[in-house]
Amino acid sequence: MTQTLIERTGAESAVSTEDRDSSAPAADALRVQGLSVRYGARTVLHDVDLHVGPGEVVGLIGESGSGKTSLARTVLGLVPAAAGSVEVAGQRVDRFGPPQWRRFRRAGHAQQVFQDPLSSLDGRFTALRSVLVGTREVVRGAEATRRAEDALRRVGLAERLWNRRPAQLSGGQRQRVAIARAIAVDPALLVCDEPVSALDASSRIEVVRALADVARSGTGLLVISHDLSSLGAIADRVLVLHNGHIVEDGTAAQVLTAPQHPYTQTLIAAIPTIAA
Amino acid sequence: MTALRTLLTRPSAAVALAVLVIVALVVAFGELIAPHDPLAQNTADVLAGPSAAHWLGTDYLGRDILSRLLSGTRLSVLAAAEAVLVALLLGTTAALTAVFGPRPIRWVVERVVDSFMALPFITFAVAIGALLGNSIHAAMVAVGVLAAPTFVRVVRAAVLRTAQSQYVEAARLFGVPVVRIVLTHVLPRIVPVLLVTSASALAASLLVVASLTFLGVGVQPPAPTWGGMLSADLSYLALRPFNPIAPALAIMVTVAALGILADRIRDLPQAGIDADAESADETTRDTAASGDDTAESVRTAAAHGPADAEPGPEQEVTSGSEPAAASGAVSSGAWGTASDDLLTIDGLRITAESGRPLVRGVDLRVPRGVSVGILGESGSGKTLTVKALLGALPDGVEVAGGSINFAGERIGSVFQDPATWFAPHLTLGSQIDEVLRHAQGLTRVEAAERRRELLTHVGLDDPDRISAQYVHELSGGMIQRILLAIAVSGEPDLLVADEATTALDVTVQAEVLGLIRRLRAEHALSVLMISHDLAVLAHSCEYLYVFRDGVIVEAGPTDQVLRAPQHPYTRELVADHTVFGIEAVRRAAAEAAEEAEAQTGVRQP
Repeated sequence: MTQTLIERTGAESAVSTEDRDSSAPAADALRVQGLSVRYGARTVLHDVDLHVGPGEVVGLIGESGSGKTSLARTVLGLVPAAAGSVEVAGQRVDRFGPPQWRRFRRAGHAQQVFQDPLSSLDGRFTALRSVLVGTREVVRGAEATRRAEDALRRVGLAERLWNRRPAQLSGGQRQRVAIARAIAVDPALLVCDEPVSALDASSRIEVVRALADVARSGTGLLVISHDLSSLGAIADRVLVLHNGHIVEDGTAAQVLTAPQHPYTQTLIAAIPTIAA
Repeated sequence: MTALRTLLTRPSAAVALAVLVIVALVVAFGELIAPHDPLAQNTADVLAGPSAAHWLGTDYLGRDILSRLLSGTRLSVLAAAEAVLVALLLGTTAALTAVFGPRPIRWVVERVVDSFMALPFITFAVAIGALLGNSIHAAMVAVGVLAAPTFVRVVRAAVLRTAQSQYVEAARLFGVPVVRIVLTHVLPRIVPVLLVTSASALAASLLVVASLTFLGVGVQPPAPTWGGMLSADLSYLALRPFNPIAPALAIMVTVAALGILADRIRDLPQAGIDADAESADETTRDTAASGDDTAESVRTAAAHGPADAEPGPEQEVTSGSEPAAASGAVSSGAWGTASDDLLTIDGLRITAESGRPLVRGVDLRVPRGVSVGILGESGSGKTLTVKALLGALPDGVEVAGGSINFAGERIGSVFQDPATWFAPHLTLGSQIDEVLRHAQGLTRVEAAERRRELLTHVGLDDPDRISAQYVHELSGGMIQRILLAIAVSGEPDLLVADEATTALDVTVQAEVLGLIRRLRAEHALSVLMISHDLAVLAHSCEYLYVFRDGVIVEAGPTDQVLRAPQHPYTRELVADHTVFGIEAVRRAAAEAAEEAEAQTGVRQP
């Protein structure tokens, strides 16, 4: 297994020699190989492989207890890996100690968007201040403000809403603030944990569009959901996680229209549709 | 500042605050305003009663009691405050360490806190006094150290809630240093808790100071303190029975004022002890089985409050007087005739206590044997409408007009988050039996027999094993099956399912929806299904009502609503599925395959 241990600094990119598209210019946003995660004696992830290229949107589907949240937390360094490797933006984060994590985080390489923006945003902070929480770790002063404002513009939040608190925003607006906070530090990888499932249908579209824009700008997205149908529209590839194993890996169209694994077939058959 | 203003609107808080301001002024200026030197003895005038010169009389050395009281306030109060300050600083630091510190340090902090809880205040303070010399400061630091665990426990609970929040996790992912996280996110949130705890602790500490000075610890006579005066006065109780009243009152009033203030601060909405307010609309409350009263028109009543100790979920539907409602003509739907209707809701209006309208004139019909869906987002009024039907409107929300006519006998219902309807410490079997015995008047043996039947009926094999289990041992899908079993056990006419599958995984959701369909057929049920998910309703209901902002924006047969939605909002919801749903992907995949085939003549994998 080739280990590329190249630090990603600024615009400089590291080309992975793995079996990816040879045309890919930058390091993978995320490359997970043979990852296992254990809580005590219980193994929640078995030998998981997955990669997210720059600007790629990868959907990870799993029901409760499938290990999808453990996978996200391991990638973000909140849960240790028992075996295997995790590479984010070209760095072997599974070997990081606390000081390296601190440096890595303050560089803003990997960010997360949570399910419910009402709990992921501090209710006392305005939209702008919430976004500043992140940018201030990367840059100082006016530059931090400029980046925060830039991020809010990128997610299409009107300027008159910047000084509102979460309670004064709609669900979709709140989630876009959370996305702005994450992308303001220009992460290589954005992990989205059920980014639309707490939102009403009418808010979902605006958030999905904002996420698609983020991917277009080159950030790799790992979108975790229990709901296959909500991923169909944005995911380039879809992986299905069942009891800690990846049982299916393909393009969204392949997985949704011609699932191979029996579990995926059950899962897709269970999705309620409005089709007659 | 708004918090202070709100606080002052409460008379008791205003009085308590005024008392404390006076005490504070006496602490600052007591020695200046004292009419006499508190230490000046006058052996000619000992133990005198109140007079123009000595308003509260004199003590056994002829010293002016008022002057001693005024100048003794500073030492008594400041010593108490000193202990609280020590406890506050030590306790908050320990609590923050116990939450944010490395694991070994957390362990040490917890053990130390536990052992300190076991030490008695006054004995410890006396011992410290003996050890470090008879200094009030040493004694108060000792008291402060012993009081710190109280702060640790209260503050840690408050800190933990914030520390586990996702915005703190988000800040950690940015690498924000812990100290800054504490300063920006955590401390502002625990200020109210600190205030409340400090006020209560100050009250307790005043009593400790009074006790210590009463015992002569820390303060040498002749320095005046409240406790010391009390002690001296008690020796002459036979001669001057009223002399101890003044210092005793000073202690009592100050302590009481602090206690009242602490309570009132705790009551403040700004205290944010439960700051994340939820909309009244979506507070889910319980119901399942049904009552036993019949009437042409049924008003629901007698909802069980959340504090009800009854283990089982239940909700009685009883007859009552129909309010003279603004019942207009029955809305002429496109289906059936009004005489078939099991449930008719006419012009229902629900308002909050503040007068804010929440449901603004809803007309809805559920014909017999039909499944009707209510689609809406949170805050649309769909859940309130159902709660009004079940007589379970939350406090502060009431029916302002319209009528609900239920032409059946019983309503069974199931809700979101099924696990919350069972007590965690009782077996499921005992709770199911309780409901069956209460609602259907069965004996213990009959109930157990019926329970086995019911669980098997909803597809739970091995009912005895499940009955012996506790709620946390079962999956959400299994618990929802049990609740469905209870709901149909009373042979209801109408089954209400309010977001019954929302918290479940899709595969489990499919099973539960399948079960509802089967029960509907087997029990000839009418169904009223409430959901935010169009696809769930599309599969299960013949008719749809679309709620938005307290009104119905669209109603009609399901296929008609899906095929030709009239209202822009409904069109948006349908588009959400056709643009992002699985159909969209399938269609896109089919088109892409066709295109590829047309271009290359080769079928894509």
